[in-house]
Amino acid sequence: MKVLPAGSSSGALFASVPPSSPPPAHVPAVAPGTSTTDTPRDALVPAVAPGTSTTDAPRDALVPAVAPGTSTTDAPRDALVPAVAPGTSTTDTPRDALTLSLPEDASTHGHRIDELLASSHRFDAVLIAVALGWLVLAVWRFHQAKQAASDGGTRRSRAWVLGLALGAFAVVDGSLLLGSEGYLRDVLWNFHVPAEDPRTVRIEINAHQWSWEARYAGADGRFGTPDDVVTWNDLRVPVGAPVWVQLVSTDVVHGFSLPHFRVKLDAIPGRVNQTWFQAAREGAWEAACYQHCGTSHYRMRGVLTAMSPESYATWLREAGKQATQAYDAEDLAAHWGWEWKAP
Amino acid sequence: MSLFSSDHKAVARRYLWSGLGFLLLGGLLALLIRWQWAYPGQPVPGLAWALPESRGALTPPAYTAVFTMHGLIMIFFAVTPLLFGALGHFVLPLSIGARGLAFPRLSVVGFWLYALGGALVLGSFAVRLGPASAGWTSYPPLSTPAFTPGLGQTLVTVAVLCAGASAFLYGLNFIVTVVRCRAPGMTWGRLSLTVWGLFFASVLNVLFVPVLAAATALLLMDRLLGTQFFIAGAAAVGGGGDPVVYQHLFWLFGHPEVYILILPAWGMVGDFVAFFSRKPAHGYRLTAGAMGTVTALSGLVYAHHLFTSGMSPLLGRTFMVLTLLISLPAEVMYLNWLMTLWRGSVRLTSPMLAALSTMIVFGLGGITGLSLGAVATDVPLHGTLWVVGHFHLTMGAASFLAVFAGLYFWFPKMFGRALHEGLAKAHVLSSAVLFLGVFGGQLAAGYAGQLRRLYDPYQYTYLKHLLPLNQWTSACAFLLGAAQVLFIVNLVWTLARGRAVGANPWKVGTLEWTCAPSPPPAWNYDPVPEVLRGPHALSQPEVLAQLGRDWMGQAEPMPDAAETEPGPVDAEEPGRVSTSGGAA
Amino acid sequence: MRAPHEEEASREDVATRWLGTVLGLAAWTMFFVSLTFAVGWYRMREPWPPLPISTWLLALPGLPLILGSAVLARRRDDARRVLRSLKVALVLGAAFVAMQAAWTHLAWWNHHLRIPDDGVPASAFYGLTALHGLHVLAVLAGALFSAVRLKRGADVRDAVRRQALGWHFVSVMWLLLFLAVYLP
Ligand SMILES: [Cu+2]
Ligand SMILES: [Cu+2]
Repeated sequence: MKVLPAGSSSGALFASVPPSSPPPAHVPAVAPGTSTTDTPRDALVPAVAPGTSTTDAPRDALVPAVAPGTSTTDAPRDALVPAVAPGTSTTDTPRDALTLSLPEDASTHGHRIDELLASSHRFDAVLIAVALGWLVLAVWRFHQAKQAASDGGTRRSRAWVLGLALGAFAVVDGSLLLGSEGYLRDVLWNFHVPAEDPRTVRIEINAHQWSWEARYAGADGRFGTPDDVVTWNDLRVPVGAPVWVQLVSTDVVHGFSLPHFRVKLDAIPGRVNQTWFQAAREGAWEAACYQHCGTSHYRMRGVLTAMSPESYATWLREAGKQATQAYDAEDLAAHWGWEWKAP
Repeated sequence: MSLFSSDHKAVARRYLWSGLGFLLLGGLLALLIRWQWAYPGQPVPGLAWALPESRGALTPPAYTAVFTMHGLIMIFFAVTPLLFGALGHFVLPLSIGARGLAFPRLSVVGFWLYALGGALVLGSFAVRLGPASAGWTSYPPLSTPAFTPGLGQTLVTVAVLCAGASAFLYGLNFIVTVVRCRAPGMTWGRLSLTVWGLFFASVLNVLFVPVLAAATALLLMDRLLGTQFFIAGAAAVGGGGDPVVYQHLFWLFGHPEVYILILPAWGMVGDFVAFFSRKPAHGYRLTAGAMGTVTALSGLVYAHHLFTSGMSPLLGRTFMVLTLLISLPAEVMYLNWLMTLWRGSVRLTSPMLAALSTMIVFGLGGITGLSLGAVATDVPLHGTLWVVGHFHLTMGAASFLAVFAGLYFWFPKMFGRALHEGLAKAHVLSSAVLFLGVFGGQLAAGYAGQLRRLYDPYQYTYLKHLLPLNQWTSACAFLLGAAQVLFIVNLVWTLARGRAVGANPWKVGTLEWTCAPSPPPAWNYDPVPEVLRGPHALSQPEVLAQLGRDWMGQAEPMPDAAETEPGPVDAEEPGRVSTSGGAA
Repeated sequence: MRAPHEEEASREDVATRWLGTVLGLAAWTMFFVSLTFAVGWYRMREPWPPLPISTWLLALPGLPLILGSAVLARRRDDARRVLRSLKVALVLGAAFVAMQAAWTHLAWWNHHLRIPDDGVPASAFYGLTALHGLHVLAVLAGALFSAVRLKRGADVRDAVRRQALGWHFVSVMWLLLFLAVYLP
């Protein structure tokens, strides 16, 4: 199952990618703000709609992918551009579209999941080979055999069955369980890391039908204040620092996923869920909704841009200034932020 | 043969025809989904009459309705009714030597409840805003009127309650029948594995369908009366409820439902590999015990569906361990099947081919589920087509193939006519191969990150390169749909002019084949047989020596040993024919 | 519904039906367990506001239920006595339903406990009371049916035994409801 039959190559799909792009067969990095890959590279800069304030952003944005209205705007253009153009930042080997492989891993810790999956799949392959091989061999060897055994197994053969099952279970499930537990202990459920790291970036995300609204604390480091930076379908994080996400939904159950960061978490109205991750390198990737949330579920797409810590800081500073100027105390709908919840 | 006859065989036929009808409908809906993923937004040939505005192309609302109804119809109105309603109703009383079900009138009530649910489902397609569209899981708040206002959603919710009520009733009926109505001598150790599978699945039905009923009742009150059980967020009034409660209740039913759909299949596979290896099932007690263990564990693992819901680490770890634990009994059972084949004399009849195909697709489905049972590896795969491929291999393909294994096996008993073996084999083989193509393709797409239920997956740049793969998968799906014509032709032709068969065309020993003609009369057995041995008394040396055949009826007395010269009896196990276990 | 050549079948049928009733009701307990699980979840989440009706009043309908259980639990062979206990049970059941209706009516109109304004507690109060009440009505319908059949001269002793079991079931489930929803 590792390699799918060739013959339906998808290379042509990506023929429109500029030739400067090193991996010609596959563009792992996302074109932020657009859903087409044939836009010129310059247009891939997160689209900034100058002058739009938070409240102007479409609350019911049916077309979230287009023009993520960052609330913050006149910030120097270069501060908004990820230092490295998306697509070129990724140094992983080009992958054939039909290779069975996970989305490219852009996070610091995701490789542990990937390795666990890979090792688990090796065991799975052995199990499949044994089970199906045995089946085929038995059918082939004993097809229409002259004589069949008359017993339902002996004590010994039944003990073998139990022993084999126990052995396979111990090895396959045991390694999976231990590997998973290690990841949970060190990463997924270990909030000491983001809590203790001074560089940690905290983001509050509010899921809507059908867009992602993200809130940054701004310069004062507190949520729910006028300098909060709010973006739509446009997440920005610095490279190399833990990113701590707290997540809610205003309407229905959504699923916040960053496929390239091995992040998945339900956004459920009425409760705050949290997770954390860390970007390993600069670039832009997609955020996707994975829980059916209505007719436009499929358009609930956002873009995450991992930037150098310096450009991130510049962006946040400028965006915070903008937000303070544009702050509207009357606009209650825009004040959904909450006091950061301790783990 | 009136529509209200309470003969279990007549009820079974009613379930069979309606179940096959819904299987066709659910399958066509699946093909629409596959079309959308292969040719997103392009008009579906021949669908312009249903969607005139888009000239036959699926719109996002139509698409959500299609995948929702596909899931609901397949689970509640096609596969469960075929496994329990058709095969269960027909086989279970016959196999244990009963003259009928314990509560014949209850089974009629159950069928008409199911039919009412089916009518509501069909009717929901005709109402404004279409049928249900909140996914088969109907997660609130999406499934509440604020977000899915249509009447169709309500009708389908009621329909699920009806199907649940009917499942509860036949579950109860089957349990009491097995406990109370076994023929004399039919000890628990002599039940066929099919009956064991049906029995355990019935236990799950009566225990967990009420949980679904409770969740659905609360949801229905939220929809109709304005209660606030599952409404939260902006739409909530008075503090609101918690949608997560619904998720817990739903999966407390939903996971056992997976086993409800697969346990009868396991039972049939266990029997058929024994029958058509002409050999007693290996480790009969171990197999039955493993099925029982799975049954016991199945209510304790459900929260693996909620690993990403922000559940507490303690709960997450507990459910991870319990979930992985369930693979142990499954492995025991699988190895027993393999050991049954070994040293047998394998006959590749159509039921056997279907059983072996079930083994293959179930094996693949089970193994691909391992990585979903551990929290860390579940994260990248959760909510992707990997999950879809995994559970379609187990409760879709495996249950489907098991239904046809059972149907090909018992059809001669049901209708007194033999299906065409060649067509049946072609149908089974092509279906199995194409199932592997379809769900293998889904596993691959899911592994690459394709999320479920996306109207247009290619909105995402990182999924664009999967279009050719999805087109290939869809081609397999269309061929799979076309392959079903083989069955329909076979069915129609056989019913019209199929070859009449005798009482025991498969030459096996269970009661329905050895003590009743095909089809059996109204009260099955007259007199009720006196059971002497287990269901798999095959290739027994004494029988071979004395009767010259490799099978022995469960209720058939050995001819007086003095009359014939006793053959060379296996010194190690003399006279094991009539004790316990698979052979006896 | 009787198979041919099965004279002793009727005794068997009675035991079979009894077993079906016992197992069916035992399994259906899961319905109320699930409802209790849901309410328990909310009660663990935040304090449960006291209902506007006093707990003593809410406990009162338990009395006819328990009395009814006691009346039906006594096995009687004499048809007149069976009929009398059925009538008593029906009156007690009607009293239960009337009280539950009165409390919900009072809560709604006099104390303005409303759906949806009062959130989950009000939803649980009205919703679960109604779901339980439907079960009581089903049991009462069974008892009424038996009473009518008895008047027409049928032997209903075994049916009444099963209905008594149903009565015990709704009594116990009422206790569960009381603990989950009515108790402050
Ligand atoms: Cu969403
Ligand atoms: Cu499950």
